[in-house]
Amino acid sequence: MTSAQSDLELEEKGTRAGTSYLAEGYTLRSWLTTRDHKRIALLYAVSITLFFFLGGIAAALIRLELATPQGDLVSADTYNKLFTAHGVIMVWLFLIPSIPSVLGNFLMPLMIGARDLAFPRLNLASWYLYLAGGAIVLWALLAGGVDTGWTFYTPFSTMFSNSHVVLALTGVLVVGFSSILTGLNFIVTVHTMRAPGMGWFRLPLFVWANYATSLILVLATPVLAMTLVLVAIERMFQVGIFDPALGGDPLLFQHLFWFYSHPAVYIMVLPAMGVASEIIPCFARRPVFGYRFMAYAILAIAVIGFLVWGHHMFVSGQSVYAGMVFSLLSFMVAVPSAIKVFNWTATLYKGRISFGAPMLYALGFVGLFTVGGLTGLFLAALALDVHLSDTYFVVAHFHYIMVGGSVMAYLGGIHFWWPKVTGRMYSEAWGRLAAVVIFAGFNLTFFPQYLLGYAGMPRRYHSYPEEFQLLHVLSSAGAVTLAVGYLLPLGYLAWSLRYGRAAPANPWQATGLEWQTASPPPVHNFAQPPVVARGPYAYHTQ
Amino acid sequence: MERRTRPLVLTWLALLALLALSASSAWIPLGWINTAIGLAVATVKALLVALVFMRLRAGHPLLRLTALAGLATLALLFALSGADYATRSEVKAPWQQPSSVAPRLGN
Amino acid sequence: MSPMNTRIAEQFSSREQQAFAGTFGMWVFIASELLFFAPLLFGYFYLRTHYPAACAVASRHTDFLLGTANTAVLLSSSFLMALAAQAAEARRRSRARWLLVAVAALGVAFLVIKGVEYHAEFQEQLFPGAGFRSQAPPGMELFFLLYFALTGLHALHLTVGILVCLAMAAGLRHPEPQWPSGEAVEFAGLYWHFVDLVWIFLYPLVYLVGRAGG
Repeated sequence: MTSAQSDLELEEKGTRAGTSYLAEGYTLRSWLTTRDHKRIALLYAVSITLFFFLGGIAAALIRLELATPQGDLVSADTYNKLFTAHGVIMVWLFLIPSIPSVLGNFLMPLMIGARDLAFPRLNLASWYLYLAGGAIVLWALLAGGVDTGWTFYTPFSTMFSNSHVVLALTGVLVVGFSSILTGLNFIVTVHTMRAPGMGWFRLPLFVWANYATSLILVLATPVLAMTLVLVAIERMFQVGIFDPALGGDPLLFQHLFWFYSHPAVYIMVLPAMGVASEIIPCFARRPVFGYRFMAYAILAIAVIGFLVWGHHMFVSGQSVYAGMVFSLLSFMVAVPSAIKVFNWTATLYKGRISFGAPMLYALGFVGLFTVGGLTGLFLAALALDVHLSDTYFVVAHFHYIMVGGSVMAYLGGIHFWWPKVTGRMYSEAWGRLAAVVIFAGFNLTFFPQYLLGYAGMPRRYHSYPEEFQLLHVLSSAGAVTLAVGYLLPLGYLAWSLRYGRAAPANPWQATGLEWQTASPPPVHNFAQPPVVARGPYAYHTQ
Repeated sequence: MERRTRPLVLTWLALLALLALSASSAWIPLGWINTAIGLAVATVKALLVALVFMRLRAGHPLLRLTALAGLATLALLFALSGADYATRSEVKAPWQQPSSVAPRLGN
Repeated sequence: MSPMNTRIAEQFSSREQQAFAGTFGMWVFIASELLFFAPLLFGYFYLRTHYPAACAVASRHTDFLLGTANTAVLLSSSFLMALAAQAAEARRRSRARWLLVAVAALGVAFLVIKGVEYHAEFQEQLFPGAGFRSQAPPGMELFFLLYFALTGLHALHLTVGILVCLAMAAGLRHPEPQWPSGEAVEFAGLYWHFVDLVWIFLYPLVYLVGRAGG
């Protein structure tokens, strides 16, 4: 029993536990100067959705160009700018903030029984930094774009590109600081503000996942920031440590860049794993299998994830011996991920499984993440990577994880916690339809890309030999389906805000402190600070 | 107040003494040992500042863990990137225009 | 020991929780700042291992006396900052205030000395770029690129620290519970000491390479 259950009792007796956070001020100013983590989460939600669709437009143009073998829609330069825009926006302005800054911001304090994060004003500052960085990136795009790829490899970015590199780098730098501050906030919050009785091993796995993500945010992002500054310096002053003529090394950039950017992919996937770990036990009515292993696996992924970056550099001129070490470590990082996949599956065993929209997304996540993860092992093998590097196989691999994995989990989380956040129920029929359309569209888009890559289709090319056209057309058709699938939730979720059924405090009968308070929660989350006496996922089996 | 400021004063004097040590020893030709002394002295100074001035020794273990986490991540960057540089086989050649160099297969 | 009239922010349940969250938060920030310097430090490691002779030549062009003096200045400023934090914690706001002013003054002295060094280096054509001196061994220009980047970034952090010290000194004119609290001064102190730590390592890396002619 938690004392937070008295919140429900109070509500049932008609005594309000406090005004809903949505009703506490209706002015624009009350939203833009808020310190409430729940409102800040919504501010993020709106902003990242805008950037998601912007990045999606770039993707649509890419897929449109690739439907025919000739480079006939856009010039090669423009095509370079399109995939750069798509990568920069989707990675830094959508995926990295998505689950942590939207769902994490909203739920972390609730899940640990706190009134807010440790540093609410810093939280708001994070959002403003995100907006500023996003605005600068937009400015770079509108001013003519960047053509270096989201990876900004030297010497092209430092010496030869004629596009708005420094502007784009500045935008990414600013967004990076936003994410460092969010990570700092989460780490301090989880360590110092857990409710009485909420020991580490009673925390929901969503909290563990965002905590581990925050460790990466704080330790890896600063390296990216300085590396981008060095690129800017070399570009502006024609002197730099990446310039071989001066004694520098272009591979130094790659080491520094990937030192951040590999852990960055774990920033993108760990929170998704956290979401899956909340949804699956609920919709299977079973406690998560192997809770401690799941927690340890999250930490292991975060730590080992720092050791593998050289697998992006196997064919770059890096030493073969270093390549072998990185290859071995890359195989090792798959182990904790596999443990998690086994445990999600085992959680289903003897469960009473229902297929609500969140569960469809969560199951889709597990399956697609598995495929993406397995193909990562292909790429981790040195000899195979020589053949597959810089082909569409790599593109398919990371889209399976980032889109099939992270985006699906994000959508699953949006649906799962929608009643809590908005106080409304969405339409289950539309929710399931969208999930199925997205799953089908996703596979149609990206599975052919594995075959294309294996057959030798290079990435970042806008024209290709005729024999690849069928697979490209299938992929582009899939992209259309996927786009429809992504647009559907915009419709029915918006509709639910006005016309949806009012949500009870715990519509899914889920465990977790966030469900022990009203939907939507009062401003200070709980009428009284909860006291925790039970472990997480106490779903009873029949 | 003097009892509590005494450790701070002693630490300050030790820091200045260590500075004198590294500054003066740099002028004695000792080869790589000069670098070793410089970095060793810097490490001791850093420990004094961290443990005494920043109160890491008396503080919560979590704070020491945080400092270690930062240092460990830095060490990872150095170790694994350094491993690449240490094991590369470089074949030094004079600068040539790419178009004038015939492709070579194998090593 | 803990003053009763320091405000507790509404998200915290006790003063101890608030104080520890602040200290821990500052340490997490310091860890991230270390990683912010990391690429420059690794760049230095790369350069030193690939071009040791050029680094020695370059280091001999830095000003040993001013660099050593600056190190003494910064170490002393850390000492005064530790005293200031101790005073603020003991609620001796006036003493803390003057100590913080002294810390800021030493910080300004550091910047002035650094400025003198930079000026001389500009004059000697040691600033990387089109005007860099010719006949320099390969790698020397990169040494100076890293020198200006590292010391420049350090100076930027130091400037922020000086401004914080001055702001806190101004705030300490008013009694509690006005900002800054004893804890706030301690947090500023942690930041200041970190800036000192960076310099402690920069000193031998920049100024002491090949001084004996090696």
